[in-house]
Amino acid sequence: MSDFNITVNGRQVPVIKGQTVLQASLAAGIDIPVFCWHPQLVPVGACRICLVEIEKLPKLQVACATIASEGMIVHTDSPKTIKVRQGVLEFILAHHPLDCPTCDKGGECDLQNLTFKYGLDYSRQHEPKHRVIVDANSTFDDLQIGPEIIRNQNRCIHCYRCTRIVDEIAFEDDLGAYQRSYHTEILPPPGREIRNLYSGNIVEYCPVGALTNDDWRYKVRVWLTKQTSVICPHCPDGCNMKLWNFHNKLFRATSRANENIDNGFICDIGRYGYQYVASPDRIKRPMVRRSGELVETSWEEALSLIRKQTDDIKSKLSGSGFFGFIGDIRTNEEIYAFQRLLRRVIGSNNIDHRFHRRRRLTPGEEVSSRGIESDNAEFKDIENADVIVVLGSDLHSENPITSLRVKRAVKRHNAKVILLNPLPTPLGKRAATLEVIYKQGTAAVLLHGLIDAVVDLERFDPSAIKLSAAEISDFRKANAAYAGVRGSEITGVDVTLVARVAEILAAAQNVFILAGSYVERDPLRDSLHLAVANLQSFCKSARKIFLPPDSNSVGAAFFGAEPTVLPGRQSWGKKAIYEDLWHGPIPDAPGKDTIGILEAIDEDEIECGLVFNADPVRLFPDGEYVRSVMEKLKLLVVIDSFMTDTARLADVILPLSTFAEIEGTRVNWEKRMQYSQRAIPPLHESKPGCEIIELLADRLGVKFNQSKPSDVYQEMARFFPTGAPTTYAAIGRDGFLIRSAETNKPGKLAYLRFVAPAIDTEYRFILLVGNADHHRGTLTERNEILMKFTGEPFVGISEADATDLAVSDGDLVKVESKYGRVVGKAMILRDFPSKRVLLPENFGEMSTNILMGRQDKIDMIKLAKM
Amino acid sequence: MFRVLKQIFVAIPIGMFTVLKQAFRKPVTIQYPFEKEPMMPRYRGLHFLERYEDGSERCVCCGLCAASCPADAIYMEPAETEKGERYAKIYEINELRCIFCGFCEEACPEEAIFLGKEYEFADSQRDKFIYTKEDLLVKWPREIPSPVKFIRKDRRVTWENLPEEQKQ
Repeated sequence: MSDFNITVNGRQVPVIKGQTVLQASLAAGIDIPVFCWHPQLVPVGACRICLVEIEKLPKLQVACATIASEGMIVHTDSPKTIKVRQGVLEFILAHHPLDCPTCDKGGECDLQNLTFKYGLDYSRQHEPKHRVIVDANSTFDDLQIGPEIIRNQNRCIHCYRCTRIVDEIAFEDDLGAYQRSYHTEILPPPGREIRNLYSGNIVEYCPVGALTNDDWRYKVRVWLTKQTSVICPHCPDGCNMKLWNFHNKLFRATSRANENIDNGFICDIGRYGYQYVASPDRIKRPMVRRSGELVETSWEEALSLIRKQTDDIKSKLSGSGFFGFIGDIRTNEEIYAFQRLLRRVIGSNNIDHRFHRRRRLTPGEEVSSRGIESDNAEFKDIENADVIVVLGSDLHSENPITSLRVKRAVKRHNAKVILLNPLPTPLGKRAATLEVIYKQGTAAVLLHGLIDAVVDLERFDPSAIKLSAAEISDFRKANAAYAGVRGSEITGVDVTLVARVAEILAAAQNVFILAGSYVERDPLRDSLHLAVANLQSFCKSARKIFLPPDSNSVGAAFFGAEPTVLPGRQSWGKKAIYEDLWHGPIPDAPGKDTIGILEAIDEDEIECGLVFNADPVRLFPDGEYVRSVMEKLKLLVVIDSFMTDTARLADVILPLSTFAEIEGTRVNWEKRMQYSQRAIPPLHESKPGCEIIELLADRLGVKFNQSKPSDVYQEMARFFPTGAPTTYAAIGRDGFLIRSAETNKPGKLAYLRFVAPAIDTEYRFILLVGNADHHRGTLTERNEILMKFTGEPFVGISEADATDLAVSDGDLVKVESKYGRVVGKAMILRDFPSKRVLLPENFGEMSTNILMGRQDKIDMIKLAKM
Repeated sequence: MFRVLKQIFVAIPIGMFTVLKQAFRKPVTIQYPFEKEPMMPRYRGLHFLERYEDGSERCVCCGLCAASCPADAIYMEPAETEKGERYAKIYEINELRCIFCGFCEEACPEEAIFLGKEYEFADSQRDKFIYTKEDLLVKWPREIPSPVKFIRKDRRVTWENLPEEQKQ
């Protein structure tokens, strides 16, 4: 591996060409103090604390920015270097206020630690210190520079880590260094605040207490806290985090650098998202409905009631009269135990985790989505790709850390990023080479037009791809209706723009396709999946990833939370294995999916539902219909942490613990399984999912004796690939991949049949559902700090439409569709295409699903000023 | 025989003389609690929390006293004032756990906590021994001048309040 050796403190240290002296020394376990250096940032040599002595060089050199060369003899602990470190620290401390007792960084401060190790224990300075006075009325000089970030310029040592993180990692522009010398101030640009999605990282990586946040401000001392390692439950990136708790109360979350995933940077949603755990809105005790009102009761009474009611329904309808929904954010253990409860104990296969989107294919749309799944790919593959195609995804807010990898690829080797989206996204302004905005519902046509444009190019080399000339020409013939100008009429994308994208794709050696939520919400989803596979076949070397909607969607699909597959993605033929394993029969036929379940309730075929941390009333299209259907149920048991829209309809509510109170495993989009520790014991009277499921199973007649997640995990472990760890202790910090070894071979090309949906002239606007700034999904509105960024729902409209309707920012507008209507404050979005409306899905007071139809192709709405 | 005579004529008078001598001395016994011994200058009794000369609390709730406490007798929770100053919202010392070692005084970087000369704080209930911030803070306005010679007299060192000898 190593190219040559250098001598550090008399030791031979291997060096890979291009490494700095610091990197080589740290890799060999030789400690050199640093302030400004960070492994993920370009070295600047600002702080001078890493000065080392290199023989034959007249002066000391900064280790962080000196490239190691063969034969170097380096001394890192000679008397001269120690003396220089003392001197550097003395200069830094000359203007440092030494207010460690009040400073929140105290205890984990690099300056404190290094001063303790190398610094002088006296001061030679008699002059007063330089002080930046922010406000004459306040005693200290703290300045709020963002909704969450507080700056104290006096403590700053000018290492520029913060501005470099904002610039190099996040590609943002809301923080900079102003003035010069020791007058340098870290500030956002005039008139702005720092409010980017990655702003929490600058607090974490500030080596002193110059940048702190409200979350951790004056709450607890770092040495009192205990840290636990958890996996972030907010998106399928699966970042590694540390939760800091003291006396069973959570105080903050920081990153736990994992180079496979997050590189040590987490987004604000994960960083502040833990706060919902201690929310006062939590369901504290079990509740039952008595004469129309939900009243608090004991576990014993709630469970007996469930037993009594289920017995009645079971004798009438057998197992098929039951259904179960489970949320994608739960751990694998809970998902596995839940489907086992439903299949083995209750005898029903009606289970689904996909309650947030339309699933059923309409007749005539014969293509099957089965088989078109994500390829085997990891975060590192994004970094190595030279062209990254982001299709139908607001990657910035849906998968913030994946978005950081894309930016890293741009930073490291100028990777080209192509965005194909129905609306402009934040990533477009920051990292995209080309941003294509198509009309919602026409993405499949766009991709087919793109393929045609690629094949048209002179530089296109058919021998580089695995398709025969006949296949290509047939495909082109079938696609003629979507190519060129005809395609552009359907998609609304300029032909020259498509040609430019094709040019980039044809030149690409290594393409990475990331398909996100707008693909899942696309009315032609299955055709679009096939179109992505087609595009993959036409690229030289391409991988595709369909980003899952929630943090453990991959795990939910793998561990049997779908009506048609058994755990381990086994088909129905393997039923006997499970009957053996669970000592009893399971139903013969596959069950119903979400739509099927709702229709069956409507026809009185299903009378009882178990809803486990899911909220179909809020998320499934046509919310009013779902509500009316759910009201028909004889018994609705909701197991949840919060009073969701579904829970309000429940007959029995059991309080459920949140992610910090349980241990378990989660699977991210790479299919990497990671272990998450329990940080605090369950709050109030809530119980962890596995325990509740065991209680229910016991009450309904079957005992599994697996109330601990570790027991469930041992049973699950038989579905993993061979060699995978069978205990939590064996999982380790990197986790393991549960995918099969074979890579996805490009299949046969599929042809597209596109029929433009009829457009109702009354409803002229297309509804796009997205995420508000600093929000993702439905849990983020429970966090105080995230609400500081975007506090209320809005109706995003374009400037052109705003002038048409005479609406200005903040005016109330009525959004109406055939199915329902909501009222919200208008927000005028710059560069937003007209005739489209963006609604955030994050706020309970304005649920977007009541505007959607269950069968509709495209959600059309009308807008009016109130 | 000689020894007996010596006891009678020498030892007994010496003893009697000693007794007589003590009988006319000032008695050592003091009439506590009506009379009190002066305390040794380094005696460590009940804690007190000091104030600045403007009456504001010195304690910033940094937690070093609690960290240095070998008996784990100190509990505190910080908060923030309107002026952006950190202060102790809750500050409690369990005087039953306290071993009066004085480490808290030594650790305090703000010259806020001291061990005083007070030793009369017996009580009949154990929970009375948890002293809160209100119990520990010195009375304001002061009834007696502070026994402490502070190194730093102001919360924030500026050119104006810098001692003259340091201005050269």
